[in-house]
Amino acid sequence: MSDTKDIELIKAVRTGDLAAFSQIIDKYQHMAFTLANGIVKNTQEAEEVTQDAFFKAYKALDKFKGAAVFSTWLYRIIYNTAISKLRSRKPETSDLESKEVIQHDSLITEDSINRIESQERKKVLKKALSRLKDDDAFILILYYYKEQAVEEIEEVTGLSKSNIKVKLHRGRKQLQKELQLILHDELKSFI
Amino acid sequence: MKKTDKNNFDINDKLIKELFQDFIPEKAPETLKQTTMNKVFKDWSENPVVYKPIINKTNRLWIVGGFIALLAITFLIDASLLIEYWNKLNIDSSTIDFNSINKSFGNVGSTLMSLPSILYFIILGVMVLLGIDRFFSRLANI
Repeated sequence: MSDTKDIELIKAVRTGDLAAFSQIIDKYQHMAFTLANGIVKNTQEAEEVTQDAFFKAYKALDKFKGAAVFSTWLYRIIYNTAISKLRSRKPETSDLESKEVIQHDSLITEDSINRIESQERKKVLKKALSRLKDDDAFILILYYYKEQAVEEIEEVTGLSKSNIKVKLHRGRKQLQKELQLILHDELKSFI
Repeated sequence: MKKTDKNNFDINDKLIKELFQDFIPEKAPETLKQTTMNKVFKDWSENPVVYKPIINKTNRLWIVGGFIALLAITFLIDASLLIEYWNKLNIDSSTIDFNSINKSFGNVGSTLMSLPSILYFIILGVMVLLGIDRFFSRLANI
């Protein structure tokens, strides 16, 4: 169920109160932008996607019946808009494919992560997420940050449960690999 | 082998969960809200919010027609028949103690008693009509 504040705002927008829609943007813009950026991995495009998604949400607000949580419904629009944006891009060779992966026998441990300061952790995580393929970052953010269940992610993305699980597994592995690379680079520059 | 994989998975999962505890969504650009609201305002001014009744025109005609027919039938019935039914209900001093009403309200009770019963029917009819009107206007504005 959507929270009562959201429902009140939606009702107000339906009656023509645009200020209520402005409040909806205030509430969701940062998360929406983060999720969009998780897919398109470009600040300018993420802004365009978020704007489009909010506008689509405004136009489709009459169709929102309240059966799903409003945020889930909105994130689904963001996901679809961002995926369309990705598909509309001209195919280009990704440097992710050719990136040299440093093979470490040991995995990064909790200890090495704990050594990094909180502020630095945020930066490292943000950087690692921006390097993930496709919609892996989007799914990881929903799963780990928004603590959404696989079923909820299924509702947002329209992907099957098994597909989401595969993406989570792949994303987790890739994230770890990227964290290793970033930490390795930082260590090298420090030396 | 499987056990090792599971252990790795648990460690990764725990580690990533811990990392995400410090995660903060990126700040959306200042222009995002303004640009979106501009689009919304433009659309709003081009397509003003229009009154969309949930009962479409054809259905409304049927409903209104049926309602008028019902009213016509009701009013075409001989008023004396209604009075007869009223009397059959035995709503008189044996059912309602008009003496106690008289005592309580003085002349008001006797005045009410002296009013012709058709007046009560008219009042009731008007109230029902107002109620139905309110119901339909509510229904149309959902």
